[in-house]
Amino acid sequence: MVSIITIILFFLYTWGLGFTVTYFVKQSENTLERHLMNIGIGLGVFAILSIILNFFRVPLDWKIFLVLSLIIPVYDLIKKYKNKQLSFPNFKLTKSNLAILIVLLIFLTSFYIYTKGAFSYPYLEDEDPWGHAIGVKYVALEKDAYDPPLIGEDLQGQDLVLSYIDPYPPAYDVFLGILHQTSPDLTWTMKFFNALIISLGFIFFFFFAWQFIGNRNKALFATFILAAIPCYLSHFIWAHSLVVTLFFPTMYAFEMIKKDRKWMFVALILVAAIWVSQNLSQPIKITMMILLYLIVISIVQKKFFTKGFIALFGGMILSQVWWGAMVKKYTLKGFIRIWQGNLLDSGGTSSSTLISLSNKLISVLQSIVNPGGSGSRAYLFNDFFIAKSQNMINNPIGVGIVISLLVLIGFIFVIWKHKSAIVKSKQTWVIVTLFWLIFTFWGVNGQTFPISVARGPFRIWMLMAIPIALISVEGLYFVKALFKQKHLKILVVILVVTGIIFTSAQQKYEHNTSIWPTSGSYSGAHQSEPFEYGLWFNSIPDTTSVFTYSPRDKLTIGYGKYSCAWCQNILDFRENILHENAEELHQFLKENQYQFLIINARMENKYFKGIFGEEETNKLLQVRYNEIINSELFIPVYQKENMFVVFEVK
Amino acid sequence: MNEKINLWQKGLLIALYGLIILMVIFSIGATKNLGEDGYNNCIQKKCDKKGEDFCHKFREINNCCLGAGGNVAQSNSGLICIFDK
Repeated sequence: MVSIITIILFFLYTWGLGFTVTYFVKQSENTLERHLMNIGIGLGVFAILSIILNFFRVPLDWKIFLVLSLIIPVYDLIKKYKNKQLSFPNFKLTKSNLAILIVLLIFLTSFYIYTKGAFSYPYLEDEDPWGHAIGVKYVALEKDAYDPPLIGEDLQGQDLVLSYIDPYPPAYDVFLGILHQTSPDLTWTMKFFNALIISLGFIFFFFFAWQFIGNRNKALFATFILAAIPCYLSHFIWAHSLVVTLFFPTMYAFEMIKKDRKWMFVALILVAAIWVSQNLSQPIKITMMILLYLIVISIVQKKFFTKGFIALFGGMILSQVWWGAMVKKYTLKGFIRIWQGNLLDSGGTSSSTLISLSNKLISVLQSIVNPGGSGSRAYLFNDFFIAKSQNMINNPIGVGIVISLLVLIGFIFVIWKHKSAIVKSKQTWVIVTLFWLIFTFWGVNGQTFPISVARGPFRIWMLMAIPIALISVEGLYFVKALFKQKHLKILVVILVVTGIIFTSAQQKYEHNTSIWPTSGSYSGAHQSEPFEYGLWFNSIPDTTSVFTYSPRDKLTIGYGKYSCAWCQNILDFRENILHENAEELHQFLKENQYQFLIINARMENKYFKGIFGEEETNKLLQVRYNEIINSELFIPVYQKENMFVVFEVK
Repeated sequence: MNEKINLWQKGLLIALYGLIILMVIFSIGATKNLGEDGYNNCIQKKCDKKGEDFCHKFREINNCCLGAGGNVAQSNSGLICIFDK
């Protein structure tokens, strides 16, 4: 259910924190830019602030965030009131404000598309969002972002229930968890705010591009392309939504350092935010892009960009509030092993410490640029050139015909036009973007090129969309320049925009509004089963405790209800659940205040066979069902034939 | 206007041109992954690296097949990758 108060709180947290850290720096003269960028910057401040509070064991409570967000704004308000400086912002419809209004329209359109798709089914898609749901619920209730101490963890001491918290940097789950504290419907909270974060990214991108290119109209067109390009973020719920969005306010802050060196501190905070928002692979790539930016700027402008480098490395150091704690907890070796799987073990078995160390370093490096990953593959020309409506849901691929042509034209044009002058300071944004394009293009082709430069090629598509959007603008301006008359230039723009809509945006729309598949828990089930679950879960109040007989607590949580997936007693009980009779099951559910029990023969057969073996499951499962039905301790209250039965715990 | 480029800028320019040429060469070289040979190589690599169970998963077969320019189909012997002639 919609929580208006939480939507207001979202903007209060983000705007307030953005206002706070930019209070002492010179900001844009444009009121809209100032306030909108405060939201983007505040998004990053929230991320690192939550990690710092958690480090000092301050409870992650929405009231604390609200107070911290509003201290400086309220102080400023009182100060202005006392000095009689209070006035309403003077809004004039200037060309700049008109451009911003168009960007807001792009934001609203994208937000509509993303939410339309996300709410077209009652469940969460694929696997990652269900995992995040547990993390979000945990933060919301426990007000903590470290794992609870559990017995029976895996070999590295890592809790496998909360897979997106500890050692995974939890800023995304913390943010959604804080929002969930005031918005009881978890499913709505996750879908709505994930879509909102991605869509707000287009606004932040516009202001960054405006600073970067130095041309408002080019920035506007680039924003349109980023919103239209299929390979940029879909509405898939994962930490990438936050980390990639944070790239734009971060780059905005880096650009603003040129105007006021105090922006260095804002950039530093935002780099730290990036490093605590996703599990290293995207922060490493984004850091590589920032590093390219800093190196190229230093060379092109013939002046070492000291403040930029301080912001980058200072931010990485600040993020050690999380990573340092993780290394301390798991030890460096354990931590690396968790992150890169068993790569270290296959790195070599030499007894020589030196060789072993070099093997480990090589192994770590290999893991950083490993071109594997579930969705990664070799990509063909058509994968780039032709956008498809049927696409990967987490990171769609494809650019589209018109945008591809614009990039190609733009790329050739800037090389041909500027020649050696491309390395001069006037063309800074062009050469930085070219290096970004080369880096991301190389990364995307990690499986087919002899050397890979980044981890997980399929996740680089979303980053490649950024230089594509920027360089395409040069393509458009070249084509426009071919025509002398103004009305022909306008016609070209209209034709290009229409072409982009039909060859990229339409496919993106169709993909993002279609019904996406859900968890592997439903594999082999009738396709309506996850919808039927949704129908029943939506018929009970948000706080209801529901126990799934199968070890699928994440389904209960993902559908917006409650089960303590991370609690030791629940985990212990599940280890032996098949050997517990109906009375013992009932007693356990009553003790833990569960109101409903769901049994699903297909699911139980699947998961119990993995835990207890086929023979044991075949022998005992039907016995347990009979006991449950005949015990009179459970009242059947809902049934979907050949799917599941819901019992009320008496 | 007549700002001269220094050694660092020349280096940057060479790096840019060099990388562009490299990307073109790599892209041309990548065409050898196409077709049945490319598909078989891809599957073989996965089998060698992560074992038979892994490389015969639908997802892995599909990734290799699409990457080689084919389409996955079901045959009596399981999933196969077919190519347009």
